[in-house]
Order: sequence, then structure tokens, then C-alpha cells
Amino acid sequence: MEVLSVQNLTKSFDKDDAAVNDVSLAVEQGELFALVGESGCGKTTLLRLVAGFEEADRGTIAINGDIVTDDGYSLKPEKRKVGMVFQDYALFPHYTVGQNVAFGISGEPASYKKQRVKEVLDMVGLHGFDDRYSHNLSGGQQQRVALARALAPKPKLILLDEPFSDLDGLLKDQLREEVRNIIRRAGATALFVTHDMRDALSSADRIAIMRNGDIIQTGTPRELYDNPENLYVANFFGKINALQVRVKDGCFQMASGCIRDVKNYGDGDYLIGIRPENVEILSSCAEKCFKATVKLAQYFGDHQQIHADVGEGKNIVIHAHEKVLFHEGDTICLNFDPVKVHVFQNAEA
Amino acid sequence: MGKERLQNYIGKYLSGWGLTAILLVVIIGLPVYTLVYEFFASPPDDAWLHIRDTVLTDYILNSLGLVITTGLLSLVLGVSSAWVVSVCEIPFRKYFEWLLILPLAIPTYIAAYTYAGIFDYTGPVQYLFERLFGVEFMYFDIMNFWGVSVIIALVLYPYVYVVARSSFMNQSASLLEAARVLGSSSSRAFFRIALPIGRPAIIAGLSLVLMEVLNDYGAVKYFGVNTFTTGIFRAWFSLGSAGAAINLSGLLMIFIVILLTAERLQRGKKRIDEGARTGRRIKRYKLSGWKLFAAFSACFVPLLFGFIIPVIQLLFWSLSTIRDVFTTDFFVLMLNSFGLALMAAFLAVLFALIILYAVRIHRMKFYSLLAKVAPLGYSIPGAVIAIGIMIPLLTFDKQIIDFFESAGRETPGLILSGTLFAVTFAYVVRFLMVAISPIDAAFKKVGIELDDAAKSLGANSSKTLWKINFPLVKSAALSGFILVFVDILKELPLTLILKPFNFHTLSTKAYQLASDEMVVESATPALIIVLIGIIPIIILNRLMSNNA
Repeated sequence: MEVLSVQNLTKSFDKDDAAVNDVSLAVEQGELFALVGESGCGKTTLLRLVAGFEEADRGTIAINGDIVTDDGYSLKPEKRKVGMVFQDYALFPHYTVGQNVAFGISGEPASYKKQRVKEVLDMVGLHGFDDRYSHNLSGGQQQRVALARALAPKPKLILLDEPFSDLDGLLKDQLREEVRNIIRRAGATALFVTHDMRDALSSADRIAIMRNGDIIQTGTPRELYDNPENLYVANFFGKINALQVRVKDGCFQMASGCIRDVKNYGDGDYLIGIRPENVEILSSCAEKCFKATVKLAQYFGDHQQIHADVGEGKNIVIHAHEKVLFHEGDTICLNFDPVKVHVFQNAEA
Repeated sequence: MGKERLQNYIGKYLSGWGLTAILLVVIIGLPVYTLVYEFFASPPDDAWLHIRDTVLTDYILNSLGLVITTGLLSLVLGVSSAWVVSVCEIPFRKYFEWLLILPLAIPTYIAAYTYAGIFDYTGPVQYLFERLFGVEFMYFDIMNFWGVSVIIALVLYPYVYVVARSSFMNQSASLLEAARVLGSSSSRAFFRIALPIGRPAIIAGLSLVLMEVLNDYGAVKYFGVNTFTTGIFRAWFSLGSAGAAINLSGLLMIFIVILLTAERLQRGKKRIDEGARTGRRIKRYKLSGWKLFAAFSACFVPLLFGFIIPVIQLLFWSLSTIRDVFTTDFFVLMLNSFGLALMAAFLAVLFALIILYAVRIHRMKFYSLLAKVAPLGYSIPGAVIAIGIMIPLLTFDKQIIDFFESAGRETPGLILSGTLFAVTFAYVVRFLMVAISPIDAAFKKVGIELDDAAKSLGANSSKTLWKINFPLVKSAALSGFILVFVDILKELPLTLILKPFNFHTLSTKAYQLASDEMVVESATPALIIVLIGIIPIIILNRLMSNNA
């Protein structure tokens, strides 16, 4: 069953540019769904539209089958029964952790409230934190209080706005896993936005990539990684070299050699993407390789990052794991597995 | 869903909060509507023609003259003491920092008649002179334009001092050090760097001084200097001409609008960065010899003449008359003053909260504009607000009386204009700004996402205000309340015009006694006003040091 259904949603803040442009998506019961995109792509606006803080120009939103937004109608956010975790947590500074968590539970006897607060705090691993104030908590603890507060009224849908952006490295990895488990255990359905693909990959069941108000591609992490629709999507999974190449005689033509076209794309011009770790540096130049000149070699311990000129003024970045050190001016022979190359049909950068 | 849709559409622009806020702002504008309407609609009467042909030039010249002399004097006193406190090491510097604000606690009219008493034939200056030298002191007449200019500047310079100090203190040390390394003397660094950077703030402080100067009635009246304000009183009370009072008010407002526009223009669009606030503080100059003496005097002289001498004099007078003053009547007076000020201050804070919360809920330009327009009464002199309120209320009351008379019943009297309603209303119009500024600042510190969070947890607007916003702006609301309370306690011209017959507050009583040649007896109510006036200074000082 669809917990959230968004259809043809459009919202613009100024006349010329739509922040969210005719977007449709559906989130299934129990799913963790991530909206990924660069800042300004409209992902946060979409989230706020679902929460009811913004009003759509056109389109419908249904939560649990009930229409909450429809052409000029917009149910107030306080009536939507949606949980939300804010980017900076928005914990009420004058309330204790317990009071924060209890805030959204209304119309229930005090004993139930007390028990539910305890239950949710246990769930997020903050047993016994009831009487503390948020300013005495670490960033990770505040994050979990925010999550507990959102979960306490048992919402069908929970929205998370950049839930991990204020945390640093190690804590972030730990919390991603934890947040995922907590939401799973609570049996909630979640929609979260992030600019960091790693957040999405480690927590989401499905991902939608947004750009300039449009959803470009939706799919499981694996689907997006294996078959990115374009370079923009591919870029979210790490650096990728973009090369404009010509296929001729069953071969990707390079200035200094050619690689066999195993998938039979047919003759023509293509935009291809190769990840730096998928470029191989050969110890000796064989027939099926192409030559390049090292422009810059940076040593990073576990690998060397090499910027190389492959001719015709084209540059490529390579992550080399060889022991031998490369230097500016070296001539190297490169090869790549044609299966690992992404070929984009539309040559859009 | 048609009905819901319509409700939804309306809800975007209006709500109970929004509607109340709009209504409040419309009502608060009453004196302005009166002024504009009457100024253009009513034909000139004889009283106006008389004033125009005889004393109007006097009013204009004196008001303009006061603006220039008190303005310049306040600048000199305020900026020099602020500079010394900010960059020099002098004895008691830490104390001077806040002591220099104290003169603000003394209302201009109290300072005026206290100094008149000090320099009187029977006053302490004369007495000391005779005792010390055995000859009669050449009588030094201060009861003129120059006298009142100096006295007003002595109690109003803190408006300049406060902003100048905060500007000098916030300026990064490296700016001045850069100037020194580039070969500037310390005085050149002051005139070329510190002063130009601080100018917009200092001029804004100065404009507050000038608003107070133009608002003043008690001091200029006591010293016999005729200004627009004394003219409005004369037209209203002596000549009984509403038209003349309106015309004078209108001219005064044109004058004020020009001043405020000039202030806006000098501030300009350009925002001067005062340098890193977190940067090092200026290393203070160690002074000696005559330089130390001059620096110390720059701080001590304003404090001595602006606060210490008048307060000692008031204390002395008060103690000598305390037995006669502390009667039941005096407690009634206190009760009147405090009750009225509490009520009006409460209303001002309530209105401020409603208007500012409407801005927060609707997040639209229209409502922000509303919050900017609502407190403009602060720049309208009290006498002008009083006239602008009195005229429509009197008209209304007369209609009611006529109605009862025509019905052959007993008339109810002046139910709006003759009661505390009028004066309370006027206080709110005049001092709403004082409540709005601290509460607005506090609201801005409460992130809007807290409201969103409360809503996402099912709280409606009222619950969000009551549970989230109000607790977080509570202390600012209390500051606003106290500031309005004290401003009302000190207020004179508006209260004089609008107070009910035979009703007195501390300020009107003090002024009446002083005008009736009973300066000594007036000291106790005056002293109470001054002592209570110190409270907001402590609050403001704390707010400022928190910001710094």
C-alpha cells in the first residue's frame, strides 16, 4: 500500500523557475525513501510540501490514501499527522528531553504519555534521558531526541530533512545505521532528503535523484549505480570521467588507440563515463590500450590520483593502486573494461 | 471540497491573529488620521491666524535652535565620553561605562526646574558664594534658551553615548592599529577611522535625542522658551482652538519627517562592516598628566552635571519636605501613576505580541509592513498624539451626550475623552515601539523551524504561541513591559492634556508643584520617578553587555 502518493506536484516561488516541477512519486508501506540532489534542486521544498509548510501551485499529495493537498486545497501541517525531523533538530530549548518527546502526544491519559515517552526513548537508546535539556546533549543525541519526538505520536509517515548533515564522519556512519534500524523497528515509513549519496545508499530502500525541480531517476541503490540515466546521476556515486568518444568499426576510438565495443552500440558519437578506479594502468603497452601523459600525480597513501592527458586536450583522472610512483611527464598505457563503462545515449553533460 | 478550499485560500492571508493584528494597527493609527484629515480639511480660524502672524516665527526658530544646540552638545558629550571609555585607561573606567547612562533617568522637565532651583536667588550656588566670599554672587540667569539647551543635552546625551560606545567597542582593534602603523596619530585615527565607521549609529542615537527635544514641553515651558509644543498647549488650553493646535502639530510633524528622512538617507544602503566582533579588543591608551585629566573630565563632567548634582539637590529637597509630602494624597498619587502605567504597559506588550505573532504566522510582506508601521507613534511628540486622540473622542462623546439629551435622559458625561481610556490609549500609541523592539529581537532569535516542529507534532497556532514562542520570548516581553512602564511614569505632555480632570500622576503633580513655585515640595515625586527610571537603564545595560 502506498503511504505517500505525490502526483504532478508543482511549486514555484518566482514566476520563471519552478522549485518543484511536475513531480510524481510513491512511497510504499515500510519503505525508506531518499530524495537526493544538490542544494537548490527542490528536494527540501518537496519535503516541505508533503509536510504542509508550503502550498503547492498544482498537483496532489495523498498520505495514507487521504488527500492532503489538491489544487488550491492544503490541509494544515498540524492536521497531517506526519512526523518530521528537522535539519537542525529544532528541539524546544525550554523543554526537557521528556517534554519534547511528549509534546506531540495529545488526547491521551498522562500515564500513557509517560509510558510512550519511555518506550520511544528506549527505542532510540536514550533510556533515562527524560530530565535532561537539549543543550546538554551531543549532536548525535539531539538527533535521536528529534527522531524520538517525531515517532512518539506514531505517525504513518516520517520526514527527515538532511538528517545527517550536521554530524561529523564517524558519528555519521554509526547514526545512519541506527536511524535506519529505529525507523524499521517503529514500523514507520520514511521519506528523507540528503545531498550526500552515501546517506542514501546506506539507509534507503529506494532513491529518487532530483535536479532543477525534476526527478531524473528513481530506483534501488543498485539500479542507480549500475544504470545511471546520465552523468548527473553517475556523479552522485563518486567522481566519474566524462569523455566524448566515437564508435567506429566496433571500437571506442581514442586519439592513441581503441577499446573494443563489446555491447555493439553501433557507429556514432557517444558520451561515456569511466570511474577513476576502473581505469587500469598497464605495465607494458599492449595492442588494446591507449597512451596518456601524466600531468599531475598526487600520493594519497592507499592510492595515487593521476591526472593524465589522453590526447586532443582531453583529461582523465585515474586512481592507481600500483606500488610504482608516477611522475609528471611519464607516458602511461591505459585500458578499461568496456563492461564497466557507462554509455549515455543522450549526450547531456 | 469547495468550502474547504475557500477557507484554505482565506486562511493563507487571514487568521484570528492576523485579523486582530490588522484591527489593532488600524485603531492605533487614529491620531494620524485625525491629524491628516483636520490639517487639510479644517479652514484656518482666528486663533491660527493670530499665532501665524505673531509667534509662529518664534516657535520655528526656537525649535530649530534647540535641535541644533542640544544636538551638537549631546554629540560632544556623548561621543567624547564614549571614546574615552572605549580606548583609554582612566580610573573607575568600568564604573563610568554604565554610570554615564544614568542621566537618562532624569526627565528633561525635572532636570530643568531642579537647575532653576539650584541657580535661584535662594539656591545653593548663591548661598555658597555668599558664605565663601561674603559678597552677593552676580546673579547668573539660566532661565533662557541657552540654559535649557545645556540642561536638556546634559540628560539626553546618553542616547548618543550608548550607540557610540557600542560602535567603538565593536570596531576591530586591528582597524585602529592599522591606522597607527600607517602613521596616524591617535586623534587622526579617531577622526579618520573610528568616527566615520560609527557615524550611522551615532546619528541614529542623535535622532533619538532630537525626538525627545521636540517632544519636551515641561523644560521649555518652565524656562519660558516658546516652541511648537508650548504653542500646541497654548492653542489648546488658552485659545481653545483645536484648529490651531492641529496646524502646529502638522507643521511639527513635517519638521520631524524631514529629520527622520535625513537620518535614513545618511544611513544609506551601504552597510559598514565594523570588523570582526570576535577580534581582539582595542589595547587601551595609558594616559598621564593633562591628558589623563582631560579624559577623566570628559567622563566625569557629564555624570556630575547630568546626574549627581540634580539628584543630590532633589534628595536634599525631598528630605526637608518629607513630612509634609507623605500623606494619604501621596499614596493615591502613587497608586494612580503605577496603576495607569501597569495597565498601559500590559496592553502595549499584549498588542506587540499579537502583532509580531501574526507576522510570524503569515510570513508575508504585508504583515511585516504592519509591524513596521504600528510602532511609528514613538516618533510623534506626546502633545501631538494627545490632540489627535482628544479631537475624535470629544466628538464621539458629544454625539453620545446629544443623543441622550434628545432622548430626554440624564447624560452620561464624557465617557471616552474624560476618562482614563483616552490617556491609556495614547500611551499605547506612543510607546508601542518600546514594547515591540525587544520582543521582535527575541522572536527573531527563536528559529522559525521550532514553530514548524510544533505544527508537525499537531499543535495549532495558539498552542504553538503559548507553549513554544511565549516561553522563549518571555524575558524580552518582561523587559519591554518594564521599559514601557517607566516611560509612562516619566511622561508629561501627553498626560497633561489627556488626564481626567482632578486626576494626577507623579509626573503631572511634580510638574504642577514646580510651576506653582513649590519646587521643593515637587522633589519627592520627582525623585521617585528618577529612581524608578534607573531600572530600565540597568536592564538596557545588561542587554547590551550580553550582545557585546
